[in-house]
Amino acid sequence: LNAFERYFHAPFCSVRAYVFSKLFLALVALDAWMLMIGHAGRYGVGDFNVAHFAWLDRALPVPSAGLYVGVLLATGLLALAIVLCGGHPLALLALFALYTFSWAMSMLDSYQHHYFVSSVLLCLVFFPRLQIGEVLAPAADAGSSGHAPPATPRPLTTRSTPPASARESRRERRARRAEQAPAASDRAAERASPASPAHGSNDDRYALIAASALALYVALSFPSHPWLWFCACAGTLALATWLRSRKRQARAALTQGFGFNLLGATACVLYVFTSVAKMDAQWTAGYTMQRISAAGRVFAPLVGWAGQLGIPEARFWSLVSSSVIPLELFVALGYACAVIQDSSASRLPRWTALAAFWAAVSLHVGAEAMGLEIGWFSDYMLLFACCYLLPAAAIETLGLLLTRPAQLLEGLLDERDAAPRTGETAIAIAGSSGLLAGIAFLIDLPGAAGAAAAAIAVLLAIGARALMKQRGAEARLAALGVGAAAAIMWAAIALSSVRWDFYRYLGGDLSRRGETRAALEAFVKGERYAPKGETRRNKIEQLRRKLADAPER
Amino acid sequence: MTGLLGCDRTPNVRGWLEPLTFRSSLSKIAGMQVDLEARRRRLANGFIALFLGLQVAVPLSYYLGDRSDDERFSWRMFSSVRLRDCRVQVNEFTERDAQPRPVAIERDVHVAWLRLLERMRGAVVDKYLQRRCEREAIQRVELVRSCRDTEGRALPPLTRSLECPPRAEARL
Repeated sequence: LNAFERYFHAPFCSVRAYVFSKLFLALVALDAWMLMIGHAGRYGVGDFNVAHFAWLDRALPVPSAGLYVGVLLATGLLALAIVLCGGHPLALLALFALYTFSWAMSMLDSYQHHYFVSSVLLCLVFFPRLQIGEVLAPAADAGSSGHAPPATPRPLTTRSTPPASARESRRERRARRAEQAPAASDRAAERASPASPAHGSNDDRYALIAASALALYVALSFPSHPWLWFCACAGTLALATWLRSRKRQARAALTQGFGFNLLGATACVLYVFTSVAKMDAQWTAGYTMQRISAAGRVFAPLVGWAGQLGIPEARFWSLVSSSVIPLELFVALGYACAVIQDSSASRLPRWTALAAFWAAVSLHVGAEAMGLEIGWFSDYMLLFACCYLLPAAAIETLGLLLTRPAQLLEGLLDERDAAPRTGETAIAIAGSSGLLAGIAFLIDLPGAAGAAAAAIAVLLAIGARALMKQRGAEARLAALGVGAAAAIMWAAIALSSVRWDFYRYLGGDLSRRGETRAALEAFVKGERYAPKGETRRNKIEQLRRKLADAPER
Repeated sequence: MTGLLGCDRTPNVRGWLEPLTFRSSLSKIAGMQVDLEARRRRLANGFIALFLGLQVAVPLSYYLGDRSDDERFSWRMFSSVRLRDCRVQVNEFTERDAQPRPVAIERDVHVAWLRLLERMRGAVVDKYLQRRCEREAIQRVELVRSCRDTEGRALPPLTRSLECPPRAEARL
């Protein structure tokens, strides 16, 4: 193997890829349903559109709000169905195409992170296809911290090596470690060994604490101290994870799949270019940062504090702005090292990745604090940082929150050797189709019916194929997965303010362009979905009066 | 990748090859598998090189090319170019009017397009000027963009204009 292959085909801890792919796809689905749909009212207005690519402009008519919403609903459904049912490369490729089409159809969606999400989705096609059993490791306490990485694929459990003598060269030390490493067969045996009840209860305790912290953060909000609440919940999660993983060694198997390594390299490229973009006089002087949303307000206490230390305000902004450049370059380096941290014999990649994790967290939490209008980009990148940059033991611990329920579900639903059971399969498909149709009606957005029809057609095709090949269990699980995804879609849309956003933005634009009657209809519809304390009643009355004065409009 | 519901059971390539071992000699199969593996590895390496090359080349083209206002795909979120404070004005010139007629862009198309015109996005500017040209009696359309940089200094205004082709009806 040459250096290129050693890097891009380097083995990595399987739990990283498993947790990342599941959570990333879930995030894509929720992002599409809870955020992106809100802007759909822009599409088709004035019969004007420019796609991101000229060939797409020539091939497509002007996209409507219905088309955009339909594509986003279908994207989310497919993403979540893949999370629940597993990702055949063709399904992942279809998801990449759908998502890319959602932003490429119009320059109205010019968020650069949507292009990045497309790159991630393409890399996911080449991720390893992991079974839950390959990811879950039996609990074990080794009595030592960290883990020693293998030179060849093997479990990350060898830290009992005595310290090498001072005279021993690095190469000799590596060779000795490799010799002392357990063979691949040992790894399989270790994986197969059952976890002790004590470890199981520790895992349950951790899962309970971590899940409670997350649930409380979602359920409760403290508008006066949002960042204090965030830090309390994140700190609890981090402390519980650290306490559980510090005396443990990551025991998840190493796996290969070049998509994971390629994605790490892509993240490295992204951070290098975001850093390069800031290498200009206006950024380093601090002018650009001061123009960003709430930067002045957020940093105001620090500006005052710096002033007391004798640092003038202009100098403070220059220092803060300039510090972002090396910080982003360091995060880039961290991603480059992260890909090989599980397979390298050296500790350097792991230390670099861990330091880069904290740099990335400070960067993205800082961006959120400044109130940048970047959608869920920070969430995507924090997930990235957790899965790529954290030590294997920590991500394995965090992964318990996902892998435990997954294991439970698999145990309940696994019926691989079951008979075709045509009747049950037909009922499952019909039930999911009915659910999809009902939810499309309840969603009350243009394009929902089209997305549901497409999903039902795909479900029927899967059912027909599975029945022809006597694989009824597959079709039943696909139906269950799509049905569950549809129910989650309904919950996500109903609980968020996305429909309110859609109708009020639409009404606002129609009103601005003098289409009073259509604007009134949009605002009236939007009132049904207005969050507590928000209303457009005054605007509705104003439009009604306007229509009464000039009924022809 | 297998799902949380655990329903992924499509066989992999090695799985498809398994029945063949009963029909052919083990060495032949082993050779085939090695060949297949090497071929897959070469394909994968080619894809990696292409993908990564594009990931580097696309943003690099921003710095090496002349699309200074079009920062798409170049990872320049919140750059000094993006955060300029810009205003745009579109004027139409007709045979009848001596003075240019300003266009109320936000009443013509969605206001989001106005933001893209302010950023002087080439394809949007071209298409919008063409759209205005399609209206009757328009001889020329002109777009003027004026900006202040993040420091607050006025930048030289940029002008793009389009001579409207004579309408077919007019020629007839």
